[in-house]
Amino acid sequence: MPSRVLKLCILLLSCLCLLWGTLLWASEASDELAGFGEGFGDAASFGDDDTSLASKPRPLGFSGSLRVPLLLYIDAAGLRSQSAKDYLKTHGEAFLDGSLLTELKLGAWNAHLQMGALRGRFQLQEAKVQYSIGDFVFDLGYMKQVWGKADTAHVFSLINSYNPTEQYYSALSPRSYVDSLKSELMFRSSWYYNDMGQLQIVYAPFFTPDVLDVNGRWAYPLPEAYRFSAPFIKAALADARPRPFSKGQYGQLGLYVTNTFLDSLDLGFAYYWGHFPTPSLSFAAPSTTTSGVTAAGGFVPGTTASSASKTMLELSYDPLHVLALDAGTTLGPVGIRAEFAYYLTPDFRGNNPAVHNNQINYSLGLDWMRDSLMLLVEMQGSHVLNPSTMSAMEFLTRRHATEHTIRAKLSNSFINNQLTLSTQVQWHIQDRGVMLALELAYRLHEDMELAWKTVYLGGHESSLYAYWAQNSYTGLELRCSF
Amino acid sequence: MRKHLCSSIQWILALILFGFIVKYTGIMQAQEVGTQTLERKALSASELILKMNESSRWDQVESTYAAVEVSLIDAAGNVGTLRLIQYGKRVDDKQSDGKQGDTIQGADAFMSLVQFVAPASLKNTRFLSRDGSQWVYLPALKKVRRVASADKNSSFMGTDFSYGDMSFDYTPEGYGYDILREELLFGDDCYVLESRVIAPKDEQYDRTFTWVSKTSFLPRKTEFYKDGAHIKTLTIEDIKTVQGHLTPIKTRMKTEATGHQTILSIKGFVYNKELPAALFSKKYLQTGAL
Repeated sequence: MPSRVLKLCILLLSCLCLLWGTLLWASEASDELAGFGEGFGDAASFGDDDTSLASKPRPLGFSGSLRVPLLLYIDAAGLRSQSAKDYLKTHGEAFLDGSLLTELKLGAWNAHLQMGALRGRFQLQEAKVQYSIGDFVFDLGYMKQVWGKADTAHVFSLINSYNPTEQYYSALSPRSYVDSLKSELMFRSSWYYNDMGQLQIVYAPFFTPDVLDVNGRWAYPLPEAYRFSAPFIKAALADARPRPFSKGQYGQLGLYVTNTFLDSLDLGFAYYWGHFPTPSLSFAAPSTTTSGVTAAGGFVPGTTASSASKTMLELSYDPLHVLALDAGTTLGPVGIRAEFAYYLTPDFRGNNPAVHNNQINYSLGLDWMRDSLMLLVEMQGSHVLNPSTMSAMEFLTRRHATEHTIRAKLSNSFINNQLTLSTQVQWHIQDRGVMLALELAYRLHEDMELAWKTVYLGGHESSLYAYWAQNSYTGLELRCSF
Repeated sequence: MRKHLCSSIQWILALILFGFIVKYTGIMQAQEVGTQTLERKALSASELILKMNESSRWDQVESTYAAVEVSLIDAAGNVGTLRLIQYGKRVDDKQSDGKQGDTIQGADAFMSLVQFVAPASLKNTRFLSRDGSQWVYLPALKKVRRVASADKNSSFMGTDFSYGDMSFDYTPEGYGYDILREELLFGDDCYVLESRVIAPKDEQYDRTFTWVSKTSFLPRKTEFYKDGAHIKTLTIEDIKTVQGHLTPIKTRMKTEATGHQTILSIKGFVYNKELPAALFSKKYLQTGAL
């Protein structure tokens, strides 16, 4: 509740800022090139006596983007059983996405407000106040904190809630990961202890778990062991998902320190103290509220799951400590990046079915470019320790104790950069699932483009991607930025 | 194109800009020009090369501040435009880790920070180059990313410059030189200097013709050849004196095979301004605040 009140206050403040920002922006529109030095012969246009060039940007910044996707989901079965008109009605989707960023700079203070819509739903993307003094920068507000040197996904950036299915809509977009995060209220202190070194400490009083859809288009299939208690699990997850926890014990603390060594190697270390982003499910002993659900979550044949069983189900988020390292360097024309994280839960031995086992998560990637051609390959891996004692609950969001996903992106531009062809392949090795994305974008105007995008999900019939195959889509998207 | 921009390619234009400024700016005191004009007769190729090197008094520059517009023009006349602000500052010898006695030359002697102004999708993207490394801050990704430098033959996306063009030396060792003739170009009396490779290796070009101003000893035009084929043409179409330094204001690079051109237009330039060292740090890269 306090979180909702706070968010409401920030929203009201945001609206006032936006209104004010719009008025100021309109009044300054004629000064678009301010500071850009129109006339050259007059060196004073840059001001020979100006000693604070970098610190005197326009006090108010105003920018944003707009996207209008028209999607058609591809479902072969649906296409056969429906007329084209009905198919379009049931499988077509159009929405308005966008964001509006207002920045106000007053000396050492900087207010930053970004609101918009994603998948057609309004969201507060970021709203923060920043104060900079010397080597320190302090931020307070709703923010998205990204840690790690990988490109497509991070293994220890855990403070914000992550929606793993958003990547299928935003595939090929550089914003894919950031758009998959939900902003969180936090306080962030950054100390730049040398030119390229940085220490960040973040405290978030609330915790919002990762999005785990159990209903709807992107629902995860529940593990077999939970088959009979699925309705109760779904009800519990649906109830828990969107609500930040306001209890004190659900706070989060993060620390990240990074620096450059030998002029060629960026190294970072991170520590996170918070909660496992996906829930644990535990069941009360059958003797106390016997209703046909076993301790492992299965249903006892011949019994009936009564409403009493709803009270048996306990959904919780395990305390979690994460120790992580990351590194980035270059080798000739190739960029190399790696992340490694150890997830330490209370179930160190892996024998408590109500608590997540410890995990190792990592990613390794490289990128290379020549002319306008860019190639990026990244592998993300995850291994649950003590896999022989894994409980069924480990499989809510994963299907194997060890999982690897390879992502490869390739893009190139043609016709004076007016036409861009991009493709992405995502291969889940153990699950044998594949995602293919292809996009052709044509620049209509300096800041406007029209794109045709197709995303296919499939692979082995038992894979998660095959389960989501009906979410494959093709569509047009109009994008502009300002 | 916007996707490419956001996905960290065109910030490399930062290198174009800074390398270009270092390479082509004739750091010549205005009062010396007149003296040199008197000496323009009977110059040998080696004397001309010496004059060209002397005219590039880059060591007199401690910092640069420039506003630049980059236009990409295809054969059909379609134009794409980028605008950016560039800051450059000489590396303090005490800060550099070079061994005693080492001197850092050319663009390596400077730290550079480039901040994009337009297009909107690139706004607030910042690029930092220092200590032989490059980082880019992409607002869309909310992080600072180390980036690799491409090989010398690789061109910057959509531009007609290659990395090799930035480090191209008009007077490298292993080349032979001749003054072919004298010509008027852009109203400037010029020597036409031919340079040709003597011991071919993997040179990007094996022969160039450079029009060198008789007064400023700045190159005004260069034609680049490889295996007899005319590859590119660089022209410095406008030069102005800024704070006593001759500075190229408008430069065009054309790829002969495609007709594609890149124009660098300097909209503002200040030499030797006091730039805080904090400009060239991760803090500024990430926050835009000093």
